[in-house]
Amino acid sequence: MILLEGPSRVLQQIFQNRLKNMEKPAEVDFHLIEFDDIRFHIQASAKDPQHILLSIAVPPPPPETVFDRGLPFGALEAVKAAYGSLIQVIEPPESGFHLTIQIDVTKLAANEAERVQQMTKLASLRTVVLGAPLRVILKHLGNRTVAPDADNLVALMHRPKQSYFLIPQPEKVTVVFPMRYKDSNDVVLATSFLQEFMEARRSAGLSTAPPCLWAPTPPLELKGAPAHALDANSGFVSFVIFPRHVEGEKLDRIVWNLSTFYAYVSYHIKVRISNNFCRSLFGCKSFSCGDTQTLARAYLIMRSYNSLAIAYVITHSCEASLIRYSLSFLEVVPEVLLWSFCSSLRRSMKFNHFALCAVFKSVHAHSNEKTSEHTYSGTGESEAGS
Amino acid sequence: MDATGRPAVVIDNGTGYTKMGFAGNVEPCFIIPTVVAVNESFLGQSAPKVGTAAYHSAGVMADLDFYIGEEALAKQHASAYTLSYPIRQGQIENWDTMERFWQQCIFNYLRCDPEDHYMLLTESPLTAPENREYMGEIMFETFNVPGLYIATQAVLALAAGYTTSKLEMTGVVVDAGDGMTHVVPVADGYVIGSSIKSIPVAGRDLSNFVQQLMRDRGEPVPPEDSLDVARRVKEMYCYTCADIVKEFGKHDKEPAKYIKQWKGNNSKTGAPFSCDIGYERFLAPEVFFSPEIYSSDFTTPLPEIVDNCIQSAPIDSRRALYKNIVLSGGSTMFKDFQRRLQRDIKKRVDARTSASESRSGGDHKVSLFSSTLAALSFDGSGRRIADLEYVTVNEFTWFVLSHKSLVVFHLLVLILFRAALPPSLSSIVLV
Repeated sequence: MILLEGPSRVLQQIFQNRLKNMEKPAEVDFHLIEFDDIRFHIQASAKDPQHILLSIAVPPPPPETVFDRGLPFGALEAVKAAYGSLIQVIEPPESGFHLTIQIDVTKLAANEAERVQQMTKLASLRTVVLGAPLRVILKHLGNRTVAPDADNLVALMHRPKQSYFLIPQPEKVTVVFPMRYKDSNDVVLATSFLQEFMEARRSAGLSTAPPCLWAPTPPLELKGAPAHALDANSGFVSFVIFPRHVEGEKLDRIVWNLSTFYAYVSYHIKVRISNNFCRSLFGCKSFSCGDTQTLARAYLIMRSYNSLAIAYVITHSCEASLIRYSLSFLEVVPEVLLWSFCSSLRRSMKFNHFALCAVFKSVHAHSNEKTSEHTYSGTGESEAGS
Repeated sequence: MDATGRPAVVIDNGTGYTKMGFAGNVEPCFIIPTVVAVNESFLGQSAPKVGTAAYHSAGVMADLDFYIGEEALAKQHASAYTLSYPIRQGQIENWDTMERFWQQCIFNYLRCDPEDHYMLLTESPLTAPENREYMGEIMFETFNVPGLYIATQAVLALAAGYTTSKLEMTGVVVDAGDGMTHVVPVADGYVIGSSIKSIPVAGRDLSNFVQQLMRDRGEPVPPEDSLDVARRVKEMYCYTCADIVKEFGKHDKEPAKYIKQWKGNNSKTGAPFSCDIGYERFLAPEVFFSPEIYSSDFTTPLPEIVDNCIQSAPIDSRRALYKNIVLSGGSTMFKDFQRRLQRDIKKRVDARTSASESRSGGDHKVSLFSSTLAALSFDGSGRRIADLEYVTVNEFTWFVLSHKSLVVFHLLVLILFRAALPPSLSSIVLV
C-alpha cells in the first residue's frame, strides 16, 4: 500500500456491522484517535437502531489559519453539502468535540454498491472537514473562477500547530509544505525521501503529475508567511496544481493526499527503516532473529575485512557509541557480542543508510575477493553468491 | 499534547488472530488473522546492475507490496503472493514480516502516528528475553514509540476479570489459543514461571482433528477447502460433552437432532457441496480431556495438567489458585467447557483429599497440617526459613516470608534484566 487510504477503516467496519445486524443491534461506543490528533467518538445504542452518532474533534489551529468554532473555515457547509439528508448536524456538538452528526441508517440506499459508497463517504468525514477550505480553492481552480487579483497567501492547518500554504492563481495553485520532524534520524530520511520524490517526478511515466520541488530554504512564494511557520528542519516541498489535476473524481483524491502529506511522508520513513536496510545490508530475503546464517554472514563480513575501517565509517556517521564499543570487542569475544553488534548495526543503518549501504556493498564485494584465500572461503563464497 | 493525553494503542498478537485497538474502549477495533501476504516476485529477482535508482525503486515496491489480515487471505490464490504466518505457537518467528504486520496495523488499520501513542504489546508467558528485547527494539527504533509495555497475556486475562468490587490478581489462567495452550499460575500479578505448563494441543490441532475425522468418513469436501471448513465447523458447531460414551449413544439414537448439515461452495470452481457434521462436534473439544484420541505423543488431559500446575506452585498460593481458574483464548469457548474442566479438576482433588484423609485416620485437621508440613519441607522452604533464622511453622509468617522473597526475586530479575538492556531500551517497563 503506497498511499494511505482516505476513509477510516474502523468507521467503515462499524457501519457495516451495524447494517448487518439491524435486527439485533449491539451497543457501540468507540473513542478513536487518528494521526495528527483527530479524535472521533462513535456511538450507537441498542435501543435506537436507526441512528449513529459520530463526533469529530480537531486539534487547536495554528494562529495564521482561519477557523470557525474550532473547525476549519467552511467545514460545516462542506459536511452538509457532502452528505445531504443522510445526516443531521447536532447543535451544540458533544462536549470536547467540534462537530457531531447523527447518521440516519434508514436513509442509506437499498442498493448494495451504492450503500457501500455512501458508507465509504461517511467514513471519510475527516477529509470533508479538514479538507474543506482546500477543496473550495481547488474547485475554483477547476472551474477557473479564481479571482485574478487573489494572489495572496492562504494558510491551512496541516498538523497541530503547523500549517501549509496555498498561493491561488488563476491558472495554477501552488501548495507549499514546510516539513518538520522531531527525530534527527527521521530528518535525514525525510530529506532523502523528498529529494528522491522530486527526482521521481522527472521520470517519463509521471510527466503529467503535479510538478514538485524540494528546497532546504523557504521558497519565494512564502515571503509573507509568519516567521514561526518557516523554521522547517526537513526543507520545503511545493506542488503546483493545474486545473487538469482537479477534474471530476480526482478532486477528492488530491484533497486527501495534500491534506495528509505529512502522514504520508512519515509512513514512508517508517517503511524504509523497517525493511529496506536489513535486506540491502545482508542481501537476504528476510531478517529474522534466529537466522544464524545472516548473523554468520555479518560476522564474516566484519572478520574478513578490515573491521577498523568499517568502525571508522560507522562511528563517524552516527553518534551511537555502542557501536564503537561492540566493534572494539568484536575480535576478542565475537560470539557473545555478535547479537548486540548486529542490533547496533541495525540502529546505525537508520542514520544516513544510503551511504552506509554503499559502504557495505563495497565491503561485501571486497570480502568476496579476500575470502578466496581465507579459511572461511567455502562459506564466504556460497553466501556471497546468493 | 503529549502521549499521556492520548489513549494507548493495544496490539495483542496471537498465533491465529491479532486483536488491536485503543485503550479505553471496551472491545478491540479490529480482529484480523495474523497473516501477511508478501509479493515474492520482487524479492526473487536479482538486483539490476543498471543503476541504484532502479534497484532502489524495486526495493521500495517490494517493501510496500504486501497485505495483512483478511486481505492477505483473499490474495492467497493470486500466484504472485505467498502467505507468511509470522507467529508460530505463540512465538514470533519471522521478525521481518512481523515488522510489516505491525506497520500496517499502525498506519493503515488504526491509522495513528506511533510517535504519539504509548504502546501495549503482549507476549506469551514463555517468551525468551531476547525476543522481548527485539520487540522493544523494533518499537523504539523503527516506530519511535514514546513508551512501551509488554504484558504477559495471562496477567492481562486475569486483569480483564476486573470488577469494581475487587481486582483479583491471583489465579490460574488456562490460555488455549490457536497455536499453543498454556496453564499459567499467577500470584499477586506475578507469573510463577517455574510452574507454567504448556500443552502442544490447541485450536489448530482441533481443526486438523475435525478435518481428519471428516476426511476419514469420506465427506465430499474439496481438499483445498477442507481445513477452512473444519475450522468453521469447529467454531460454529462444536461443544463439550459430559460423558463421551453417552454422547455417542445420544447421537446414534437421534441423528436428526445431533447431526448438522454444512453447505458451502468450492473456493476455486464455485461448485456447491454439502456435508454432514457428526461425532466431531463433541470429539474435537474432547481432545483436551482425552488427548489420546488425537495424538499418541501427548496423553495428559488438561484437568490433570491444571491440577499438577497448581500442585507445583508455592503452597501458600495453592488455595487461591484453585479458587480462581480463568479461561482465556478462542479454544476455551466451546459450550460447557468450563463445567467439564471444573468437574474433572474437582474429581481429582477430591480423590486426593479423601486418600490422604483415609491414610491419616480421617482427622482432617491433622492431615491438612501434615500435608502442609510435608509440602513445606518438600518445597525446599525449610532452607529458606533457616536462612532467615526465623523458624515458625505458622501459616501467616510463612506467607509473609514467601511473599517477600517473591518480591525480592522479581526486583532482582528486574535489575538484572535492566542492566542487560541497551540504554535506549531502559524506558521499557517490565512485567
